Amino acid sequence: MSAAIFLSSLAILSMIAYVSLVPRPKEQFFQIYVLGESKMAEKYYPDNNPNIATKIKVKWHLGATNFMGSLQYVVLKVKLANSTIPAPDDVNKLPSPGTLVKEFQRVMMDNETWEFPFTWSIENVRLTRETLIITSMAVNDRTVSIASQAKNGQNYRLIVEIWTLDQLDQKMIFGWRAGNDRKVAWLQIWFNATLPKS
Amino acid sequence: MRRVHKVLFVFLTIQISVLGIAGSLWGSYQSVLSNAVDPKLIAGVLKVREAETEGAPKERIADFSKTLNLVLELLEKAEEEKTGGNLESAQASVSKAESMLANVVQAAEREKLDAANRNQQQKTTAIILVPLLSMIITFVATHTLRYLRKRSLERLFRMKIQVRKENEYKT
Repeated sequence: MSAAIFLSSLAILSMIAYVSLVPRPKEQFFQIYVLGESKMAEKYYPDNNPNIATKIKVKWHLGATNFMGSLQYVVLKVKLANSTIPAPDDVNKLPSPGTLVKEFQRVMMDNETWEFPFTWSIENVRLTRETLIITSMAVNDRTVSIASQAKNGQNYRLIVEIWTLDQLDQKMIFGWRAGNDRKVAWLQIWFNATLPKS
Repeated sequence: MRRVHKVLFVFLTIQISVLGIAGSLWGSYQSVLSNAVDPKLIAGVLKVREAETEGAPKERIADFSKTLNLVLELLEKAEEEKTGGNLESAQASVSKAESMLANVVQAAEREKLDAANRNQQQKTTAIILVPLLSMIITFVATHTLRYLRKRSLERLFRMKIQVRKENEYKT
């Protein structure tokens, strides 16, 4: 009888000690988003017109939330691409080869949401026959020289990719490692570039 | 004529040497600004993460996170200053960032060790407490059961005595 009581209480107390000492495993992931000027999922373009002329400011808010269960070093890369440049590859976990416009870096705590304004405009374009080339953009009032072309300036897209510091390789990787899995997250918003309004 | 050649040769040699030295200095300076900090930053982030995994207090991790973000801001500022040609100011920003990173790494290492010690203490306490508590529970439960059994037997005997007395009284 005493042995049975001892063994039962030992089992129950061991279980309680294990649960209180070992943290519960949870799903590890990031969330990224782009909001419009009003911090809502709307009004992504001035006057809701996706044809963006040069010098017209487009105001968005970029955000990311860390649900990885630990501190993370995060980089949000904003890239400019046209319709023929591939988007990031979800299967092979490859980033887009689009032109890098701007990188935003932050060290994020677990459960922290990082949101910041992302105001951009097309500063200069060059037109050659039917091809429009964006040669510079302004991001948060800083000019960035780039070269990205699209037929008649149609179907440009800004791609936002999340990169994180990989603990194993000790370098930045596209997406993140969750246990033995590798996951990626990205999003894109399309627009057309037009010549300055005369 | 030969003398003019000689002067020209010396002048060109000095010019080439000066350009060479300036180039190498510029190169090392560039490398200081662009490459030297990244591994340190990565080491700092990883060290803080190790401390967090060991169970360092959340407030300390939040402090480290704030400092690391300040370092990132300083590095971005340094990059802009470098682009703007203000190399002295860029170097000052990088030096400040490096010293902040070194402090973070040291403090995170201390927190990691403290947290590891606390973890070890907790585990040892649990290893000792679990069997000890089990023994106490067994002791208390056994004695309580024995006492309850004794009381119920006493009650039973009292009832039997009562019944026997009543029977004797009747007869």
